[in-house]
Amino acid sequence: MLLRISEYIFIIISLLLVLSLIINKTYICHIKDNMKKSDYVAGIALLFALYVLSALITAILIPNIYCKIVMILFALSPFIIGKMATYEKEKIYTVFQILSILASGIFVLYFIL
Amino acid sequence: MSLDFELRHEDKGEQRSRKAVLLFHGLTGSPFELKKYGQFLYNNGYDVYADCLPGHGDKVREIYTVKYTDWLDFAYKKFEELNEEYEDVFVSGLCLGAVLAIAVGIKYPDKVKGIVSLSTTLYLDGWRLPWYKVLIPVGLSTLIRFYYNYPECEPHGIKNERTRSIVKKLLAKGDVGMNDFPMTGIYELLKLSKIVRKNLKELSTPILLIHSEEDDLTSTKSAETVFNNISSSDKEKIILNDSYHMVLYDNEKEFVFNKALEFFDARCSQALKNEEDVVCC
Repeated sequence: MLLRISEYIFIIISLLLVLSLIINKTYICHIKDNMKKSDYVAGIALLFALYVLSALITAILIPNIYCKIVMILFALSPFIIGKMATYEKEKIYTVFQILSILASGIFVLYFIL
Repeated sequence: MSLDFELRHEDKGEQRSRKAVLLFHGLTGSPFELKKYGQFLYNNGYDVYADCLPGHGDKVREIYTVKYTDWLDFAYKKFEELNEEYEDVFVSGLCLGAVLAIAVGIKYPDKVKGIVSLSTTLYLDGWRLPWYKVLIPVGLSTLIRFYYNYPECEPHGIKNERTRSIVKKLLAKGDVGMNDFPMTGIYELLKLSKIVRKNLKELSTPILLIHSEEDDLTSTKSAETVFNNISSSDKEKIILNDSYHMVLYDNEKEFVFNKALEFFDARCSQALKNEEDVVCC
């Protein structure tokens, strides 16, 4: 039961995070006034934190060892991609990040649920 | 427009000075913020050098790609050049510049005559930071650092309201530095701070730390960390009570200038020699 709840929460957070990253790239990043977008960007940071947390909780609750490893990799992906990213290739890495979050959601949806 | 400045006595037909001070400005700042301080030291016999750090100055976009190693290489190179030319070379800086000054002291413990570190920024924990400051580590270690510039906002590090309004106008024109703190720059500053914190034990150079109790960007914890972890026996820490982060422009600026000068004067080769002569006599 606990595993099922954490999986649903993880999928919802993943979807919200993907949406917020897309909205950020298409609309928010064009706003010049940083004061106006600070709360939105802080919201993305919060979603990233929740994503990592829920992925780790799911990884702990999953009985299958291989699924555990995959979930831990997904949990670490924002930091791994963040470390690798450069200013010049930021757009490519953003796409990569979105795909990685989507893949994690699909993984939970098909392999675990 | 170049904001770098070099104040040399020989350029004005005066006798060549044997002592120099190398100044480093803060993150997103420029040598402009060191001008009055530099002029004061120059008027008191020192040659003064202040250049724009990599990523700062005319090419604003460079702040997004600059690495902390670029700052370090620049600071080391500049110090080595001056060390060839002068008998006594001191280093001083504000904010990021203070961290760089300490890094130079760690690298050249026997060559740096003394360090004056102003508003040393080893931690970002000042009272001005917004409600989401707990999320800053997440923001810095993920892609978010490319999405956002932390806006330069009230009180702009200055307690004195008159000075604050002047700086605000200059910042709006973009004459004295950048209007925002790019997260990528903060990321590099914190990486540099981490390395400096790790190596504080290796610092044996005389040092004067000046920090404001009400610093809006970085609390006194940074100055205390340096003070408690270095191996220098000649160290002093002064906590200001009527300034914010920009101590060189705030209510106690004259006090800061005078304390720095006193510190430098007392550690010049000539002053030390005179002291020895007195002791011998």
